[in-house]
Amino acid sequence: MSNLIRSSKKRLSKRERGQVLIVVAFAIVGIIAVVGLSLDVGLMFIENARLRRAVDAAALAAALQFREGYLMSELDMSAREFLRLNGINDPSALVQVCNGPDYDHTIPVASGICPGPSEMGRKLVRVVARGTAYLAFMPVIGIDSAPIAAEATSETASVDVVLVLDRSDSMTWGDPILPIGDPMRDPSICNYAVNPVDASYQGYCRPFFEVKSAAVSFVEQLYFPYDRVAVVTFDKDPKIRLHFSNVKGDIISTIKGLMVYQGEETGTDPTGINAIYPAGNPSRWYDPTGVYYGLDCPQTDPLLQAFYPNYPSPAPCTTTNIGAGLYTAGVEYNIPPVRKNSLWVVILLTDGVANAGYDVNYFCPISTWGNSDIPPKCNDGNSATRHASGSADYDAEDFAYAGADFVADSQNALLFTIGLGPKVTQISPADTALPPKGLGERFLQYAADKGNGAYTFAPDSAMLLQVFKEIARNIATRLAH
Amino acid sequence: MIKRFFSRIKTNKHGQSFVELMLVTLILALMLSGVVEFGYLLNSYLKVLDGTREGARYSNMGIAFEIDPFSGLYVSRQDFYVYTAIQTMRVMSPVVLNGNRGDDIVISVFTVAGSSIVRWPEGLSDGWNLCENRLDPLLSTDLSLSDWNTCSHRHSHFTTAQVLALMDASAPGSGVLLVEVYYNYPQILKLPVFEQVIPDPILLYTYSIMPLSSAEPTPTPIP
Repeated sequence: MSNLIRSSKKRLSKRERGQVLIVVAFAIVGIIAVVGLSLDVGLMFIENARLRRAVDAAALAAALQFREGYLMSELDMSAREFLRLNGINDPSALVQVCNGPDYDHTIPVASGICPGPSEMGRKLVRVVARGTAYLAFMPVIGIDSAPIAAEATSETASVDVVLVLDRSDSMTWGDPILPIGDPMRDPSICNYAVNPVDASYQGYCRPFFEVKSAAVSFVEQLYFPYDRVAVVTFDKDPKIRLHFSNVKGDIISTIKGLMVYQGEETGTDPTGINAIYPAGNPSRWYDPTGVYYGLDCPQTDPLLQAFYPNYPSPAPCTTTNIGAGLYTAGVEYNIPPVRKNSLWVVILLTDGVANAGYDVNYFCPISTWGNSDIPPKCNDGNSATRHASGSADYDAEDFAYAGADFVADSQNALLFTIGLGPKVTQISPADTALPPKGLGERFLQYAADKGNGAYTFAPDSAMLLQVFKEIARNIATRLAH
Repeated sequence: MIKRFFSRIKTNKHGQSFVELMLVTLILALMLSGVVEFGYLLNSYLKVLDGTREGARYSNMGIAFEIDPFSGLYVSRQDFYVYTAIQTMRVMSPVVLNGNRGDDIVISVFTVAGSSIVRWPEGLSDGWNLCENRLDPLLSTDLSLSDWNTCSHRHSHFTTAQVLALMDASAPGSGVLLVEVYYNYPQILKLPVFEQVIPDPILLYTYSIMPLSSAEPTPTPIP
């Protein structure tokens, strides 16, 4: 019996020889499989990351072409270029938009990306591409590669632009400057003159005509009905000329129809004795022979003060209310339908320095009443200090700064500013801010910096077209996302 | 005698499993180390690739040019390139570039119209590189480049002709932004067995190309 047990033990131990080797062989196959798989998954990750990079770039490139008069073929070519540049060659890649020309070029409704028929259009582009990840281990079992796919949707933001245009009487002074006495300096004449360059424009006040035509050329570069434009003008008061509209014709005719501020009433006497100054508002001032001198007001003219002692403050007579223009523009974005996903842009154009502003009171400290030219009345001329709202020193300039803050900070809109003509670069003797800089320019620069936009100085109206083009270019760089 | 020796070896099989186990463990450890090393390498590669993508994407909205007040011509803005490099490096964190080891960022801008192409920054046929611009004050406020004092700059992999060859002459004019990163991945385990067959560090090269509308040819792009 004991022999039997001994011999069976011996047999057993003989059989166990090499068993570990078999286990090891199996284990190694398993381990190699796991290692190989992890390698292949890694390779797929890399390939997928490359493909995603390529479709991102392609969708962006196509979205940047989504502009006025675009062709689907252009979007398609741009997208494919950037796929190729990023190392993806997929002839079957799809480039789609909402309401594309055919099935392949239309984003499927099921994706839920496109707005419904009753909503405003969005400039969306979707790119779908496929690639191949070549594997290192799987070929052992006959799988050489794995297909991968990626898609990206990019949007060219629609733009909501408010044009804030200065229409103060200096917009009739000509370009080049007309001599005093020239009838075309009289807004009541040039506002109604037949425009010899383009009769579809109201009047021929210059440089206001150039301002209008540059604004029109800017509007023509926008893409309707996706983009919207509102038009605000300011003189002593702000006025909304057109609420946000996506009808190109309405916008252009509104701009073409703008007129320079021409005062409230007409006086005929240089002493003002016989002139009428309703509520102290500015009026056009003519000499006895009918030659126009400019807008005047008893408060701004010591000679007239004797006759109009009831209007000691010049506040109702100043005509560059930049602050109110900016506030009005900012509030425009709150009027429904509010488009949170659009790019909000305010473009401010002025040829002067802030000298007007009010809420229930005028922002015109007594210390500024004696000012003339630069700094003007209602402006202390020192941009180094800002006064708090409600303070006795709160002036028109403080109000303009607050308007810029409102547009930039509260409404988060991009703010582009344009300074036209030499007035904006005039340095105020009272300005303690360094380095020395024109009073008007300093504000416009501040506003543009605050609003993440750009300030441009146009020495004359001939540059305006270029300036507006530059702004359009600048806006375009912020559109695709 | 020899015969007896061999027969003793043949019969003395105690500990065979142990030896086999040792061998297996060794192979297993080697493979696992390989997986770990490859995992780190893969992670670094993806981080660097993400860096180029995000850097290019971030600057896609940037303004690459300004008008020179003296000549009235468009000139490249140095800060555009610096901010692109900063964003690229930020995104690839925790991977940190080390110029002294041979790492670099190379940035190029192209303006393509039909079959003509211009490469920016002007005068640099192989792109703007971080190494030569490491002393830019904008960089020091954002990043510490202490490991760059002895760097030698890298060149762009893409020639202007290669980029043009990939473009479509009939497509609308384009601005192109190319961000390339050279990163020397230092092996994390530093196993001599790997270092014998695979170089340490391993040079990783990634790039991303994005559209850049501020570099589009005139007529100016319109929204």
